[in-house]
Amino acid sequence: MIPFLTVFIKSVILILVLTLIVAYMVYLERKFLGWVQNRYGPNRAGPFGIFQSIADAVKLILKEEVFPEKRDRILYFIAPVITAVSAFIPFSLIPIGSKPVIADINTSLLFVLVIAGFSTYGIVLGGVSSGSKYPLFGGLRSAAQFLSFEIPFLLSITAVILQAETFSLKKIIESQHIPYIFPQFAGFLVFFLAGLADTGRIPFDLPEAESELVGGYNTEYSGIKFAWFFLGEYAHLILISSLIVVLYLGGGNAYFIPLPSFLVFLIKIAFVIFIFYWIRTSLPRVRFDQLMKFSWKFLIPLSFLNLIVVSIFKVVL
Amino acid sequence: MGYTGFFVFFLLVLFIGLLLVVLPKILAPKVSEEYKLDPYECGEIPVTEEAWSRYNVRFYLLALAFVIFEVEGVFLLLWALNPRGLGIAGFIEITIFVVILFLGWIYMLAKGVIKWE
Repeated sequence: MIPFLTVFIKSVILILVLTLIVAYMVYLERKFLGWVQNRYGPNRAGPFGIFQSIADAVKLILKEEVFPEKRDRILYFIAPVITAVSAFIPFSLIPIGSKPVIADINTSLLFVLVIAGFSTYGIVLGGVSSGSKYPLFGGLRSAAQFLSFEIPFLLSITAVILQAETFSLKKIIESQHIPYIFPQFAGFLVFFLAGLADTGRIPFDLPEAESELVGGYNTEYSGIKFAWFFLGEYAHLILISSLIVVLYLGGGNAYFIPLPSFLVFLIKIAFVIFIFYWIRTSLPRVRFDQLMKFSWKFLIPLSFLNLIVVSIFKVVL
Repeated sequence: MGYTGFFVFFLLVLFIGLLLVVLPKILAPKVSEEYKLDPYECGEIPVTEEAWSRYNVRFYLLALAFVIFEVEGVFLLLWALNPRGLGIAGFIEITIFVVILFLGWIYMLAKGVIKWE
């Protein structure tokens, strides 16, 4: 009974902390965008607008929901829940610091991959079930993007597993005496780009391209359901950046600097997320055929090459 | 705490997710107006009757290729868990396996599966 209770309390704390981090990520992103584009960003709710995200959340809960007439009732209802839930669950397995907070299991990397893959299902179902054409196109684009970028994603992870010889994220961190970004820079590059496409952020934000598809898959969603898509998207961004940190940047290993491991982990994640924001402010959106060609003609051969080089070093030499 | 912790977290997240989706039914107001529930088409009355008409699925061959490469990925993952134990023989076998798939990839590109008009 006691261990059950501890896990329960830890879970509640983790969910609250994650939600708070997402809220302030959104605020900081908007402030950063404002600073880059030479304007103020949010500055009305509270000093410097620090309560902006909380005000947004309250508004979205209290707001009237508009259900489009032509929706598919069940799928329309569960799609945002799938996206948000599948983006949150992997955090029970990610080692924050040196070991996972809630579930320390041997095959954690496979679990994370499987569950994180579900968030695309939520987006595709949300697009298709709305019964309107812009969401439909958003959903189709999201599916095609998933088909293109999932393979290089998987192959670059295979190269990491090959070097660490384990599925456990904790042991992958322990095995990094030098961060894997140095021996596997090509793999890191592929994983970074595929992760960028997986989160659906700006050069690859085709599923929700505002200027072409109004809002893409979430056009017909309002109120808390829209908030769920939004939350899921940002939680997925944290998830991808923490995977980058765990697999390539040495997780909570501080190497020479004497700092507690969870602090090192958070600093590294903040750095990766900052790079995601920086890319967002700097690059335009790619066209869809460019995106698919880029993945199938460049990323897949590159990740194969990376895998072969790593395996030659591992097995033959 | 291994899988128990995972399932506790899973159920808790699922519960919160579903609870908050139902919450606006109690809290939010509800006003009905004409045209409000129509599909969104930039304020116009929708041109198309149904969004779920037939559309051209161009990349079904690509989807097939995706499935093949994903299954290959599963085999590679199992090998990657113990590369030194399987030794040179395992390495050669997996190389042959990858090369065959790579030839398939070249064939796919030559057929123009990802070409746009």
